[in-house]
Amino acid sequence: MSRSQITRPRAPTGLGDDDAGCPILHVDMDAFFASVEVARRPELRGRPMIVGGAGSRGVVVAATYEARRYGIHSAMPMSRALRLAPDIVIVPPDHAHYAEVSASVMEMFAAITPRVEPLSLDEAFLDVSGARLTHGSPRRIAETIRAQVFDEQGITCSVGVAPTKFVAKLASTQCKPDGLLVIPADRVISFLHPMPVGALWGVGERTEEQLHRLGLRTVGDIAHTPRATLVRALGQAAGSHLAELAWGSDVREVVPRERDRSIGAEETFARDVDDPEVVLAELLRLSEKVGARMRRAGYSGATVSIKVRFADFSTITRSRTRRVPTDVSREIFHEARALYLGLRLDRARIRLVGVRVEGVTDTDRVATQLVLGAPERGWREAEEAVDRLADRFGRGSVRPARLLPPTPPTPAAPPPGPTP
Amino acid sequence: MPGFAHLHVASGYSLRYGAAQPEALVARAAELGQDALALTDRDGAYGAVAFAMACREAGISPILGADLAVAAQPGLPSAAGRGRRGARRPATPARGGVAVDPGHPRVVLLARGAAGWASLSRVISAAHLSGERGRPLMTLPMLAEHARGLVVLLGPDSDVGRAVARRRPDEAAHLLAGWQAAVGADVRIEVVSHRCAARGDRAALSSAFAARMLTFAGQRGVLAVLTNAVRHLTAAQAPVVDVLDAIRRLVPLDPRHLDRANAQGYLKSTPEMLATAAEVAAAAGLGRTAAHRLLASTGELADRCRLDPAADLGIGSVHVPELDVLFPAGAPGLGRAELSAAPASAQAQLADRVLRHRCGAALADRCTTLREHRRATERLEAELGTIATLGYGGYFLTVAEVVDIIRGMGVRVAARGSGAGSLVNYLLGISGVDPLEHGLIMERFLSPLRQALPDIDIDVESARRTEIYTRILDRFGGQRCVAVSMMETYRVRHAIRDVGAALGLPPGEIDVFAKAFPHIRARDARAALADLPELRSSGLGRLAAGGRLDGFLDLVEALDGLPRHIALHPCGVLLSDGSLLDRTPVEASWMGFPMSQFDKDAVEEMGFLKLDVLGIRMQSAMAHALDEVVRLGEDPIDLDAVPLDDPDTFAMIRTTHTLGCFQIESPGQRELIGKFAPETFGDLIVDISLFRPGPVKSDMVTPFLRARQGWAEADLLHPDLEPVLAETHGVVVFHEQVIGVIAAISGCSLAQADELRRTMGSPEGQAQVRAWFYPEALGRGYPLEVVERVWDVLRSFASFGFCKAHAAAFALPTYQSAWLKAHHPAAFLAGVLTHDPGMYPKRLILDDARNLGITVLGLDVNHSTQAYRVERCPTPAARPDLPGLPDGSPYGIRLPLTEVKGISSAEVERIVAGQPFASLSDFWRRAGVAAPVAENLVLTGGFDRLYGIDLTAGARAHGQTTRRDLLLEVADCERLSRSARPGRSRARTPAPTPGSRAGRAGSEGPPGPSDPAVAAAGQSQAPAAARPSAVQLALELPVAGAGRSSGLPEMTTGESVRAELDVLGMDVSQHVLDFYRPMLADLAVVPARELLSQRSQSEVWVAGVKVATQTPPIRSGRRVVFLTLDDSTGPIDATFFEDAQDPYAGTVFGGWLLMVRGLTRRTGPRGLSLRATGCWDLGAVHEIWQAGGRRAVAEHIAAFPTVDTRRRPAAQVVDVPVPGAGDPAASPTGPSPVGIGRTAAGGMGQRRRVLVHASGFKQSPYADVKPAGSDPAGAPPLADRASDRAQAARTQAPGKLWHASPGSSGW
Repeated sequence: MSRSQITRPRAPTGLGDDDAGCPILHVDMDAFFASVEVARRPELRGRPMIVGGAGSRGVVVAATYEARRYGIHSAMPMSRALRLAPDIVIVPPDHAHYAEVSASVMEMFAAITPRVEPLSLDEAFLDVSGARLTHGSPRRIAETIRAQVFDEQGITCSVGVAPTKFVAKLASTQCKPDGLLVIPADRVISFLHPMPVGALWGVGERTEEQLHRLGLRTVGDIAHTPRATLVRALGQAAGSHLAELAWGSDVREVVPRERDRSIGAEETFARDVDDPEVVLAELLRLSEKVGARMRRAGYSGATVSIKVRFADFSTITRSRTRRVPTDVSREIFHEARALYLGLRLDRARIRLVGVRVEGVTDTDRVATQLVLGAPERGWREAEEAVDRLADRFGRGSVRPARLLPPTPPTPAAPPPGPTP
Repeated sequence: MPGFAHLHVASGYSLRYGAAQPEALVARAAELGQDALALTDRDGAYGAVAFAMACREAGISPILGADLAVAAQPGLPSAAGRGRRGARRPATPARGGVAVDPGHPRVVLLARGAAGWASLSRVISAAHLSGERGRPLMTLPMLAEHARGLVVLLGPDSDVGRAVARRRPDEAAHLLAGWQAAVGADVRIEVVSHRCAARGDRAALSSAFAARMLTFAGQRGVLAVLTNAVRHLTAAQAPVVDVLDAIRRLVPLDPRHLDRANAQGYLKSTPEMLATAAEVAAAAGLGRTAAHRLLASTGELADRCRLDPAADLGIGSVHVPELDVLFPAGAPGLGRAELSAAPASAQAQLADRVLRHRCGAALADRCTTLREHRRATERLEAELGTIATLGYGGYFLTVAEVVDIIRGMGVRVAARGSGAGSLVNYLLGISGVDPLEHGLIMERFLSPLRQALPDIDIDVESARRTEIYTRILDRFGGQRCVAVSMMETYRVRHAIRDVGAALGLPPGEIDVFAKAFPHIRARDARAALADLPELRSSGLGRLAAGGRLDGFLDLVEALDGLPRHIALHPCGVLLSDGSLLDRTPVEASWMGFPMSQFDKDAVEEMGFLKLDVLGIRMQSAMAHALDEVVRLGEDPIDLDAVPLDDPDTFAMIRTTHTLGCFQIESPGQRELIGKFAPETFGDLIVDISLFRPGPVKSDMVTPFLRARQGWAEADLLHPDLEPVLAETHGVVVFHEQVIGVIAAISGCSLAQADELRRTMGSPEGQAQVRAWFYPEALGRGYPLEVVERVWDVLRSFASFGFCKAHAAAFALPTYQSAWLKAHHPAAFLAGVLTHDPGMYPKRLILDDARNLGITVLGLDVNHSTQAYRVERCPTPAARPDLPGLPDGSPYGIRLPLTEVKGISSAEVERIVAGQPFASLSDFWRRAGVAAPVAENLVLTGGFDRLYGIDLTAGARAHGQTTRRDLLLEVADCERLSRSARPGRSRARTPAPTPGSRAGRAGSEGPPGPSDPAVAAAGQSQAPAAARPSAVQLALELPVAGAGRSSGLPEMTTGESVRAELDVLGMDVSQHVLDFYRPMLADLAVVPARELLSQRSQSEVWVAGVKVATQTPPIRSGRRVVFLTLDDSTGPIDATFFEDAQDPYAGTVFGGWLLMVRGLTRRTGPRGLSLRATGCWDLGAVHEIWQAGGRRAVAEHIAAFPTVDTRRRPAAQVVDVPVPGAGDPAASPTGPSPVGIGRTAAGGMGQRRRVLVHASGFKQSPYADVKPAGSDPAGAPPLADRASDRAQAARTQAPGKLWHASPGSSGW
C-alpha cells in the first residue's frame, strides 16, 4: 500500500465532489483484525491469512483480501476455510490488541468531532457538520482520517461521505477496500437506485428473496412501486420503511456512544457439548464475568437472557425479567440456569452459550426492596469482596468451586478428531 | 484343554455396538485354539447364519444367542435406568431431539439344540413385535412362553446385576427368583471383569464387582459363568466402539456417553481369561478352586450349547406351504378330502400330481400343432421328472399361486431370470416367454446336480408393490410368509457422515466431505483421495495428503462394512410351512411388514424358499400408459397380446431415439443399437445380452458386430457347434451356448455342462474343468487343434456370458415399452414421467416429448392432477421431420400437481376434488393449501389460464392481472385467514398426512358441518365459469389491495424458468440452455441434432445440462467417465478417458451446465462417439464471453492443459457401459474380483489399483460405482439463498443450473 493510494482513492468518484450537504461519514476498517495482524507482522503481507481459533473449531474472525479470493470470509467455520485453502496461514485472535487499536482510532475520531457513533470495533459513524471550520470539508476530513489511520496504525480504511447514515454506509461498502466515496446530496437517488435491494438497511436474506419474487431487484424498483403494494407484500412497518429508504430518506441521527443498554458475555466451546454439567458450569462462569463487569460499571439490570448456538449454527435466545434489577452474579446465574433447564435439552449439541443482562440502569437508582429478615451482608457484598481480590491478585483468584479445574480425565479419552 | 469358550460376544450385527465381523471373530477364536464360540448379538440373530457358516469352515462349534433388553419385572420399584439415563421419556426438548437410549437392563439368552434355536427365534420375534418398532423389549412372560432350550445369563447390566451394584441383595434375590420361575434351572450369573478401577462410572466392569456377583451366585446356589462381554476383536479396535456408542446414541463423542471402561472388551486368549478368573476369585476372597469352578461351569455350559448347523438350525431343509393352505378349496385333480387326509410325507407326491395336472391342461391350450405338442410334451416330462426328483413341486405351485393372486389384482406381472427357461413356468403362467420358441433350456435354471435352490423372480408394477405384499401376506399369513430384510453396511459416505457427527464437525462440512466421494467402500477412502483426480486436487485431498485428516480417516475406514441399518429387502418374500417362525426371528419393517432378520444370503443358506417380487417402475409406467389410452377414449390395448414383430417398433428402435424404453436408453445402449440395428425380437435378446458386464469384459461385441454386418466371416469353430452358435454368428453370448458347447464337444448332459460352467468361475475351477475336458473331447475324436480353440473360447467366455432366459424375459418389457413409444408416444411418456423408471431426469424426457411434437402443458390448477396426463391438443405443435419416429403432435402432456415443491398428497387430493376453481380466492377457500404452496402454484403458472396470463405475449393489456398481483393476493388471503382465525396460522398448520384419519376424511366425504362455508362450497354442483370476469373478481375478494394496480412488473420468461427450476425441479416453459443461445451460436457450439453430420476426427464444441454420468467397467482396468448432456435437441454423450479426467473430472462431477470440447469418431451409420478433451462450466464461460467476447473465451480455454488426441484411447468401442449398480438383476454371473493388483497408471496417481477377475479381466475400483456429487437424475441444485453466498460462488458456482448475476433484473 502506498501513500498515493491513500491520497488518491481508487473508488469511483464520478458522482462529483460536492460534499456540501454530506455531513455524515461512515468509516470502516478494511479486514480489520487481519490488517492489524499484518501491520505488526509484515512477513504476512500479501499472503492469504485468516484470524481465527486454532484447530478445526471456531469460525473465521477475519480474513485478508488475499484469503477472500479463496472464498473465505468471516463467520465461516474454520474447517471449511481449511478445506478451501489447506495451506492458509492462521493467526489466533488477540482481542485485547484489536480493542487497543480500535480505541486509539476512535480517539482520533473524537478529536475531530464529538459526534462519533461506534458500531463495533472497526466501524463508526461520524457527524462532522460542526467540524467544518476546524477541520475542513467532510471530504477533507475523510481524507485526513484515512491518512492518519494508515500513518498511526498501518491499516487502511474506507470512508463513505453522504447526507444520511445508511447512504454513507453504502458508500463505504461500495469503495472498499482502501477507498473514499462522496455521495453529493443531489446524487443520492442516482447512486441508490441501481443498487440491489439487499443493500438496503433492514433487508435480510428472507426479505430480499420476497422482493425478488415480486420482481423487485433494485432499489429503484422499490422506489417506483406504490407504497400500498409494498405494504401488502411486506406488512405495514417493513413496507413503509423500505419506501422511505428507497428515496434516500433516513431520519436516524449520529448519536454519540450511548451507555451500554446491556452487558453480556459468550463463549464458544472447544468442541460441541451436550453435557448439561459443562454448559451450566460455563453459564456460571459467564454470569460471574457479567456480574463483575456490571458491578465495576455500577450498573444493575432486570432482564437476564441466555443465548444458545447449536452445532448447526442455529441460535436461540431466552430471557426472563426479574422484579428487581440486580448486579449479583449468583442471581444472574440463577436466572440463566432456570432459562437453560427450561429448554430441556437432551441430545442437542451446543456450540456456544452466552449470558446477557438487559434493561441496565445505574445501581444507585435501583430501589432495593428490603426483605424482612435478610442478612445485612449478602452475596452482593461477598462478590464485591471477590472483585477486590480479583483486582489485586488477578482474575479467577477466587471463584466458585464448580469452576475449579476438572478432575483428571477419564481413561476412555475420545480419539482425536480431524486436525486441520 | 479345549480353550476358553466366549459366551457373550457381540459382532458388528449388534447394530452400532459391535465392531468386529463374525467371520473375523471366528478366525481369531480358531487362532487362539478355542473350539467353541458364541455369537450373542444385541436384539437379534442377524449374523447367525454367516457366523455358523464361518464356524463350520473353521471347525469350531457355533453357539448362538442374543443379548436382549428386558422390561422391569413387576412389583419392583426401579429395575430400569442406571441413574444417568432414566427410562422416563422427557418432554420434547427445544432442539436436538430426546435421548434415544432408554437404558433398559439386558440379559443374554443362549440356545440349546433345535428347541433352543426355535425358542430363541420366537423370543426375539416377540420382543420386537410388541411395543415400539425398533425398540425390542423382552418381558418375563414372553420368555416363559418360549423357555424350552434357553439358558439365561444374568450379567452386570441385568436387573439382577444392577441390584447387586446398588447393594440390594434382597432385591437381586427377588429378581433372580423371577428368572428362575420363567426358565427353571437354566439361569446363570454372568461374571464379567474388564479389570478396571473399582470406582467410577463403570465399576460394574471391575474385578471387585465381578467378585460380588460371584459371591451372590454362591449365596443363591446358582452357577456362575465367566465371559468377557466382547464387543471388539482386538484392544486396538476400542476407539471404534466409542464412535459406535456415539453414533448409536446420536450424541457427540464424549466420555460420558461411552460404555466401555477400557480396551479390555476384546476376544481374549485362554490364558488371559484364566488370569481374569483368578483375579475375580481372589477379589471374592476365594481360592484357586473357585476360579477353576467358574471356568469349569463356563466350559460345561458352552458344551451344552454347541449347535449343529444342519440338525439344529435346519440349514438345508426345504419347507413350502402345505397343500391345504395352497388349495383351501381342493386342487385340480385332487379333492379337498384327499388333501387334508394326506400325511406330511405324501405332500410332495401330491404336489407333483397337482403340478402335472395343471401343466398338462395348459399345454393342451398353448400348442396349436401336433409337432409342437409332441416336442413340448417331451420337454415337459423331463422337467416334471427333475422337479419331482428334487421335491420342488410345492414350490412351483406356490409361485404359480402368487402369480395368480397378482394377476387377479389386475397388476402387470412378468418373470425374470433363468426361470424363463422352464416350460413349467411358462405353462403355469409365471413366465411370458415360450422357452421352446427361443431355445431356452431348463438346466440353466434347475437341475438335479444343482446345489442351490431355484430362484424365480417376478416383476410387478412398482407402484403397487406394497399392495401386492399385503395381499400375499393376507393369503398365506404371517406364520408362513414374511419379507426378507437387507442389512445396509457402512460405505464411505455414511461412514463420513456418522464419524463427522460423532466428532462434531459442522453439518454443512460433513455434507461436502461425504458428497466429494463416489459411492465406494469406506476402507478405500484414503486410496480414493490419492487416486481420483477430482479428489486429489481438492482441498480435502491436499489436507489428507498432508496427514491432517488421519484421525478422521482411521475411524471412517474402521467402520467399513459394519452393518448399520436393517431395512426391507426391495423384493424378497419368504414362503414356508407353519414352522417358519421356529427358524427365523422376525421384526417389523418401517412400513409395517413382518421381516425376517436374515438377509438374502442368509436366507439362501438356510434353505428358505424365497420369491423375489420386484417392483419395476417400467411396468407401472406401461400400466399408466394403457390407462391413459383408455381415458382418452381410444380402444383398450392388450399389451401382452401385441405381436412381437411390429415393423414400426423396430424402425423406432433403429433411430436410437429410445429414451424411456426399458433397458435400451442408456448412452452405451443407444450407441450399440445404432451399430446393431435390431430387426427382430431375437435381436433384442442378443442386444440386451451383449450389453452386460460379461460380454463387454470379454470383448464379444466387436466380433459379433463385424460378423453381423458382414465384415467378417462367422467362425463356428466346428460344424458340430453350428446349432449352438449360429444365432450369434459364432460368438458366444449366452450361458446356454456355453452349456451347449461343453455338452456337444464332451458329450455330457446339459445339467452336467451347467455344473462345469459354474465351476469355471474361478482360476482353480478352470484348471479342474480343463483337466476333465481335454481327455473327454479328444476321446470323442476331436482333433487337438479344435479342442484347444474351443477351450480358449470357453475359458474366456464361460464365466462372462449372459443367461439367455434372463435376457429373453427382459426383452419382453423392452419390446413392449418400445411398442408403446412407437404407437402411443404421449401416453407412454406420460407413464415414464409419472413413474420415473429410467436413468434420466424428467426434464430430458420432456425434451424427448417435445421432439416428437408433443406439447408440454404447464401446471393448471383446474387441469393438473396427481399424475402426468395426456390431453388432446387442438393446435398441434410444430414437429421436426424425423423418419421412423411417431408423431405425437395431436397430444399434450399436462404436468401434475405432485411436482410442486412442498405440496402434500392431501392437498393434491383436495385440489383435484375441488376442480374447477373460479378464482384464486375460491381456490384459497376450498382447496385449503398452505400459503407457500399457493405461491408456488402462482409462480409456476398454475393460475395463468384462469386469469388469462400469457408471459410469451409481448405487451400486456392495461389492468391485466399478473402473476405478481396474484402473489400479493395470496398474501392478502393468508392475512385474512389469519385474522379470521386468530392464533392459528394457516401456513404453519401442517397438512394432514395422507394416511391419517384427517386426510382420509377430507378426501373421501364432504367436510364436516363444523365449517359451513367450506361445507357449502364442497356441495356446489354448478361448474364455475372457467374465466371469471373482473366484476366477479372484485365481488369475491374482500381484500384491501384487490382490483388496484400493484405496479409490479410481470415475470420475465427468465424468471419464470428460474421459478420452475426452483419449484418443479425442472425447466418446463423453456430450456435453460436457451438463455445461452447467443453465446453458443457465437462460439459455433454444435447442437446434438447436428452432431451426426459432423466429420469424423474433427474437433467440436457441445454444451448442455448434465443429465447423467457413468463410470462403467472396461477391459483395461482404467476408469472411463461417460457424460450425457442435454441441449434440448437430444442427448449428447461424451467420453472422458483418464488423460482428460486429470484436469477436468472435478468439473464433470461438480458442474451442471457444461461445455465440452471433443473429438468426433464415426462408429456406424447412426453411431458417433465424442472423445472429450476438455470440460468447462458454462456459466463461467458465459461471464467471460459477456465481458470479452469470443477472444476472451479462447484465451481462457487456452490456459487449460491440453489432452493429447493423437494417442489412441486405450479403450475403444468395447467400452460400452453396463447398467448401474441399481439394477437388481445385474450380472447373475458377475464373478467377484479375486485380487487387487496395481499397474502403472496414467492420470490416476502413481500406481493404479485394479481389481483382477478370474478371467484375467481388470477393472478399475472406481468403475460402476455411483460417482461423486449429487445424482444428476435428481433435481439440480439451485443457488441456495440461505447458504453461504461467497462459498457458493467458489465451490458451487459450477454446481448451479441457474446462473444468476446479482443485481441484474433478470433476462
